[in-house]
Amino acid sequence: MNPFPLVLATLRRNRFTAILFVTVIALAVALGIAISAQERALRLGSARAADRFDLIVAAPGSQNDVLFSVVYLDPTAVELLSPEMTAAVLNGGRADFAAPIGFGDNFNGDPVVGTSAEFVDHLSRGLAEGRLFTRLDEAVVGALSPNRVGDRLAIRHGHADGLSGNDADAAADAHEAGEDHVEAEEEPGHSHVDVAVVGRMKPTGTPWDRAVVVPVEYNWFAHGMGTGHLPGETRIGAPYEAAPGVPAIVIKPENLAAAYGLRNRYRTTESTAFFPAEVLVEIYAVMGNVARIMSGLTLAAQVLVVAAILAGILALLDLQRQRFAVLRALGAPGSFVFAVVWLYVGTLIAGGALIGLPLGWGVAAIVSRLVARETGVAMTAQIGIAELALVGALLCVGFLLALVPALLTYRKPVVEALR
Amino acid sequence: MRTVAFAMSMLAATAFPVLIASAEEDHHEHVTEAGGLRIIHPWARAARQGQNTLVFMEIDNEAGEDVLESAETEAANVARIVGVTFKDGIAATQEIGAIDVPPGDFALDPAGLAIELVGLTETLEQGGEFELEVHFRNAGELHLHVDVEAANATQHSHAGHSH
Repeated sequence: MNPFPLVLATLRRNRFTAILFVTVIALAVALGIAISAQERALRLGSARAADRFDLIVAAPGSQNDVLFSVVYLDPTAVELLSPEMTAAVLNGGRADFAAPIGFGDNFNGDPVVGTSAEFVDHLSRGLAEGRLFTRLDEAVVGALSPNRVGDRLAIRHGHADGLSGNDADAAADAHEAGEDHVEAEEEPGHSHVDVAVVGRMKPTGTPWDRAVVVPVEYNWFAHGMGTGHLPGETRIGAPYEAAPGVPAIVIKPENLAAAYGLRNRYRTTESTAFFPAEVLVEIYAVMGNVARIMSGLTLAAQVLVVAAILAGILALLDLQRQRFAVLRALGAPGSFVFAVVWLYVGTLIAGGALIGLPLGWGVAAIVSRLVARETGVAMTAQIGIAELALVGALLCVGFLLALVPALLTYRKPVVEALR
Repeated sequence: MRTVAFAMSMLAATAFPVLIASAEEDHHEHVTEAGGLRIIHPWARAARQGQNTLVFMEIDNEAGEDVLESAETEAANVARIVGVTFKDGIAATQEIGAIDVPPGDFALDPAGLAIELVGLTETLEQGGEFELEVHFRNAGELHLHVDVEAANATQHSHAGHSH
């Protein structure tokens, strides 16, 4: 006998209860899927964002702080490398380039970062529009920056530790005149040095997509630290003959052996060197632990939901015991009644799980978009093997647990049930 | 093949008594010295027979430039010099070949260089130790006692001790 017509009829007869059960299971499953998919999106997004920052050298201290400042442009107060160490690293060889990084300023809330044109080209894999900066008062903007090529930007200085109050023309004129130091005016925390936007980067999936990137000489000059070059020198870029201390230097080693060699060379009492991924892996370990705890809690919640629903189903079936008993009295075999109950319960659990999977993915996609907007780190939530395994496990457990009401109904004596 | 290689390395060691004579190990075997090189706290992560594991160490090079050329051990089918890489947050290894060891402090560490033992011939239990030969171009062969730490260890349990 085909049990499906009766299963469908039972579902239809109790459709509101069925919808309620399926909804509750779907929500519990969606929660688990969303946590799992979001954790992976965060991990992959942050790892890929750091891909182009091959090796970072900074002053000894928290590598996490340096990483977050340089890659994710979340500036914290990091120590500067000494001018001697800066010069040694910038001119250390075995690298395609060594790019100083300076940060701390902002334009309309977006970060202003100083570095070299080579690093901009490396990070962006070529520009989307315009050209790289060739003068101290030129800038390249990130792919998502609201500023356009041709705009002139009056940059505010976030720190009151250097020069302030000079305008672009004065700065550029002084630079062109070969002056390497401009007296700061007493206007704490603010100065206005215009820069012209000459290019736009391709999307990098990093917070640099919203940044205004200027030559590092601009940072040094605007903060009264010279230009990093000999007096009278007006060019920008390496070599930096008189570089002051910088918060960090990004190195692109010439090959893999050089990468490890340089990492080892600059792990000294005066500097630290690290691959971003090695710091991220430690963060992921903590993040993974948190995700595992949360996944455990959601799994427990799912089991409780299924258990509660089974209790509800048992009560529902108890109300319908006479109908099943009538079926048996009319000659339906026990196995038919068993199959009807098992399929009924299994359908509710499978329906909830299968709706929960895309629902969870949708939640993770929305959260990913919000986090990406907040942090600038591109991330995409995807359903992977872990999420499919989670749903698969719930389906297996659900179909096993569905045997309980099926067995109870099967074993109930017909005469007793008919009373 | 492995036995032959080991026997040959032992033969080579006997053929260069000067190197062997200069090689000395301190009483707790955390330090091995030869030809101006001191190897401190060699350690590996616990792993089962048939699996791979990584060996790390600190090298204090008081001599001139040297090159770490190769390593071998009876505890694994192959010992090779690798760099630890991370792709999408997952650690992997990549064979590097011989590596320069400049004067000063040099380290093989869990996020940098390491000696990978491929196909362990025995299970390495935490708290145990095994022998490893490392070959430097100038300092010659060094015979190390490698401590086995936890499978998820990030440093030698005696790291920071002065020897």
